[in-house]
Amino acid sequence: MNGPDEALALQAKQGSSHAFESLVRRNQSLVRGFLRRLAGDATTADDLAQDTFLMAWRRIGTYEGKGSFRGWLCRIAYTQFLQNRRSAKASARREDAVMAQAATSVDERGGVEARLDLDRVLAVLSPEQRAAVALCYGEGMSHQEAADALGLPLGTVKSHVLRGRAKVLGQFGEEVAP
Amino acid sequence: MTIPSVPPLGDDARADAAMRALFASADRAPVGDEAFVQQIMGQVTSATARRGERAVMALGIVLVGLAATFAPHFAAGAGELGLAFVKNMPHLPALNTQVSGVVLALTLAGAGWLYAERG
Repeated sequence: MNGPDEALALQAKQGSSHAFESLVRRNQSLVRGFLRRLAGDATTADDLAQDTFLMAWRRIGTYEGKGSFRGWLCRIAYTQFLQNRRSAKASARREDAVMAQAATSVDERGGVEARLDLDRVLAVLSPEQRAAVALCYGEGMSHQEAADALGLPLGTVKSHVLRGRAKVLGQFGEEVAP
Repeated sequence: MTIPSVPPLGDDARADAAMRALFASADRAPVGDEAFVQQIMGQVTSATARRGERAVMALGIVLVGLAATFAPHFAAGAGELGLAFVKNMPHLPALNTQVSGVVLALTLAGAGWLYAERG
């Protein structure tokens, strides 16, 4: 794969911090958006995004240019998210609270005026489903790209995307029926 | 934010379109957030500087480990330390001073490598 990101990544691999800065500028929205969908709040997502780029700088020597750079970056972001989730017991409690809030909101919806918040919608999905759905629908990645980014088999990613989509539309589709 | 239409489940194309529309209407991080970029680059610069310091420190740790193995007078001291440690772990086989010096050197080299890599 030989896009602008991949060319910049090879320069960064040689030690060019200017090239890496361009990579950060080009991909910060992608990484922050992806992590926002995973973490459910912007503050945590931005903290994880900073960790992701720092880790990418440390690990840039391992980027071989075989896959897309954004896939490589999203894989680091996903790993950061999983590590953060494992290490922080509080985050598990926070996720439970978000899930409970989502369930309550669905149960208590009374009218078509209820506005959907994407974070609330995604909270009904498992983290793996959320990641696959966010990459494929939010960032426009192919199933194969998402599989590379998440380090999962292609079939597993397809399954996560289909089940995630069915769950979201099954729970929230009728809420906004015209 | 609303899902613009409700596709019948099973209709892949319409379901995909609804999901894409759902994400398209969500808030996104700004594309040209220069403050965020500069914040990251500041951290990258300081991490790079610290990496040099860590590499020197790690090299020092490795050298101490090698000295413990190959310098006889140092190895004796290091071996005693190792034996004192091993004595408290009865399930480990008894080690002589030279072997425990090597074990200590390898441990220190590993610690040095980890320190250089992770800080």
